[in-house]
Amino acid sequence: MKKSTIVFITILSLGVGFASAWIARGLQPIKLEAGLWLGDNARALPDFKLIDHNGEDFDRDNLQGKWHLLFFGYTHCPDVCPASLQTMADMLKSISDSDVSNAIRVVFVSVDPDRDTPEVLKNYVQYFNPGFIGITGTEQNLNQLAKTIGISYFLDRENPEQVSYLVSHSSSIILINPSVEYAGLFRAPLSTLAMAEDLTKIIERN
Amino acid sequence: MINRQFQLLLSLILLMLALGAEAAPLNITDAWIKNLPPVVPMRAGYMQIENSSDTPYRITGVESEVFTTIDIHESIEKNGMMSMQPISSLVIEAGTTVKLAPGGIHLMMMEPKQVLKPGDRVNISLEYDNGSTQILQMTVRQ
Repeated sequence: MKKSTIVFITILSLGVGFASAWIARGLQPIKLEAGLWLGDNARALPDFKLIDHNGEDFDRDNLQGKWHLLFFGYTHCPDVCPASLQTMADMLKSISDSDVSNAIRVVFVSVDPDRDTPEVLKNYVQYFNPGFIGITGTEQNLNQLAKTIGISYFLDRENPEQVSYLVSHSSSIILINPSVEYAGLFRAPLSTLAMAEDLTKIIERN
Repeated sequence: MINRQFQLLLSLILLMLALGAEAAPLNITDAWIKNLPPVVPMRAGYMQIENSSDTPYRITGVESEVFTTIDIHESIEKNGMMSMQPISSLVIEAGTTVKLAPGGIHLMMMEPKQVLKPGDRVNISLEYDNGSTQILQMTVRQ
């Protein structure tokens, strides 16, 4: 056999080997440290109609093309919401020199529209990170989105005139992929490091 | 004259230290307040409380000149939902440490009377059921 033929076959076999390893790696289910990856079970998010912290319409199309972390809460929540938003801000900061952080946007969905006007929301989310987006909407529209994602919340309010009240809500963070599908979730207690590792793994593989 | 004022001040400081030592049997460390933008009318406070004595201590009240009211709350997860419940009094059993931390027990500090920023220090007093109080300083953190 000619020397050049042997070299060609060797290169070809190496190429095929690397390619199959790469494909196999892509097919393996992703196991996360801090969350749950839905893989092929990712499901399309139905359309919804909310407004962002500038008072502009915010719907399904606004989630196209980037990975989104959706967290449901309210600004008058002193403990869990600031802790979750701070963890996400710290997580993005920890990977700020990678392309991964540019591929992710954090969206805070306020389920307390009476107190969380766009102006309040803007002040609040941008305190944690200037790139964070706050969205809210009518009770009906919020219910519709929360229901399709499997998020529950409850306003502990006896009447609409009551100004001081607490809100119970799911503390999970929902991961939406760039095709606007529900792709995974992270559960409390959140770890900055574990979330950064998981998201890097997911985004580099997809 | 200045000397007399200084002596008086020194005696006061010593007296306060003595009273503090008497009334502060619990070792409180890492006392901090999560900073938030002024648009939010409440803050959460955290700390670690160590009771190395042989008697339990019960915190029945928390006060500060910087906040309208301070309550003790606990974030509880039930059926996937986080909710907050007030704790009327917090018991630190003898020889134990209770940690107030994000996602658990915390101080619910309502309506700051001044704009707070990271690095600011806030004095608060803890009231115990035996009638004693303990003054401590909490640091506002990012």
